[in-house]
Amino acid sequence: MEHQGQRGRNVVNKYGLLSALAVLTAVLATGAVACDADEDGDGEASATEVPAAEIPVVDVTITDQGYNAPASVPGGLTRTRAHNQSTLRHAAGLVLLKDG
Amino acid sequence: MTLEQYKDARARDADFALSEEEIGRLYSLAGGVARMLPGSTSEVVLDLKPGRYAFYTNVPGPYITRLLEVTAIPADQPAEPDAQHTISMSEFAFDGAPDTLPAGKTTVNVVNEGQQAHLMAVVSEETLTADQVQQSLSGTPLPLVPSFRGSDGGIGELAPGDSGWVTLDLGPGVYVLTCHVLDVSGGGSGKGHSDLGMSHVLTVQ
Repeated sequence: MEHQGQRGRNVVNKYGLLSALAVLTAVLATGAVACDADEDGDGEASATEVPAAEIPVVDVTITDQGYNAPASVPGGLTRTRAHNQSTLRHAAGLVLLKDG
Repeated sequence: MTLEQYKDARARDADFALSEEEIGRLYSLAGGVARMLPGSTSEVVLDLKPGRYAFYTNVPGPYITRLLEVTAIPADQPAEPDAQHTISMSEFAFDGAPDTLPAGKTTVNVVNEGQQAHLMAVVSEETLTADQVQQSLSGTPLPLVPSFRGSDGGIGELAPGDSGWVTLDLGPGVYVLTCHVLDVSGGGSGKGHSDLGMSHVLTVQ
C-alpha cells in the first residue's frame, strides 16, 4: 500500500508538475494573445486584440407545408439563411408583430 | 398579436382591406429574404430587436408563416459584415448599385432611405443582353422580351430607415435588381415600384 501510495504520489507529483507546466504555458500563451509585446519600449502593451464574435446563423427551410426554423434566437445581428425546398418560389420575409 | 390574428390580417391586407394605420398597429416590416427560386439558398444579415416576429411569403396559395421569438440582445455583439457595396433604396431608385460585379460572393449593405417600404430582389435574365434589358426597362420596344427566370434572392421589405446586408452569390450573367412593392402608400399610383423605375441592370462577369 505504501509503495503503491508512494508510487501514486510520485505519479501525482509527476502529473502535477506536468499540469503546472501546462497551466503556465497556457497563461503565457493567453498573455501573448491578450497583450501585444511592448515593441515601442514605452512600458505599455498595445491594445488587446480580441477575436470578434461570429454572427449567429438562423437556418430557415421552406417547404410546401411551411417554414422550419428555430423557435427563438438572440437579438442583435443575425444571419438568416433561407433554403427554399418547396416546389414554388417563396420568400422568408420577416415582420415584427405588435402587441394589442 | 397571435399568429392566427396575423394570418387574418395578412389575408385582409392582400385584398387592400387594411389601411396603413391599421397595418402599422398590427405589424411592421423587418426585412428577411426576398422571393427565391425552388432549390436555392439566400442569406441576409439583420439587426433584430427583441420581440415576436413572423416569417411570411407572398406567393398565391395556402398562406405559410411561422413565429420567431427574438430574445434579449447579448452584450457581446459581433462586428457588422464587411460590405463591398452600399445601395440606398428610395422612390424609385437603387442609388449606389454597381453596374458590374465579379462572379461569386459579394456582400451588399442595403439601406432604405425612402419614405415607403422597399425591397431588393435579384432577378436573373436568360435571353437579353444588359443593354437590351436596359432598353426594355426604359420602355423601348424590342423584338425580344425579357425572360426573367425568377428571383435569386435578395433582401425582403425594409421599413423606411431600416437597413440590412445581403450576401449575393451569383454566377456570370445579366441580372436586374428590382423592387416588387406596390406604390400604394399615401395615395400612390398603385403601380409596382419596378414599373416606376426602381430597377437596375447588373452584369456579373
